[in-house]
Amino acid sequence: MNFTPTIDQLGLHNLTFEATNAAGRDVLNFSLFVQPASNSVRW
Amino acid sequence: MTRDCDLKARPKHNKIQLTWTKAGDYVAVLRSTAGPDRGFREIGRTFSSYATFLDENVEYNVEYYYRLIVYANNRAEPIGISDPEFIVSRQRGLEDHPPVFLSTPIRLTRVGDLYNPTLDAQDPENDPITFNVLQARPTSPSMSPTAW
Repeated sequence: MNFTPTIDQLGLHNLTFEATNAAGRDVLNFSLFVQPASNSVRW
Repeated sequence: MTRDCDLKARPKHNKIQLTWTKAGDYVAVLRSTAGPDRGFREIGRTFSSYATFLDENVEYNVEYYYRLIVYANNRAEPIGISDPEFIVSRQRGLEDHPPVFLSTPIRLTRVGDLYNPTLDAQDPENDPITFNVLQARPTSPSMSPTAW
């Protein structure tokens, strides 16, 4: 999964992933926080 | 208002033990069988300083989601809410066990940076594991729910 957030996607994103096989599954939930891009200058 | 209180759920026979990092003065424990974002109902409150709760009303082979709402004394509004935690209670002695997530990926990214989390899961019998994105909200065109 690739996600490159844009300026209109600042803030919290709820993500839910599943790991599964024939025996069953597990689910992982967490919140991803998108913050503004850094203003630092690269030399 | 979400805060990472590291909520964990472990099956103990026909019960489920919840543990977390102590936060606030007391917590309301919520449970759902519908999904990580719906159907939650409060099943108890605890003032325990050990940050633990035992759910004794559990059926085998049912998918449960738990969340905690954290309160401080003398404040009506909650001060935090945990991420949902998923667990299935299973009888001992079952030979084939499902995969288990071992850690949570980094929760922070910046605008313009590629977020490509590494999912860390293990199957007790080393059977192959398939990963899927079940939910990504707010949805985004660049976030596709596919296995990888």
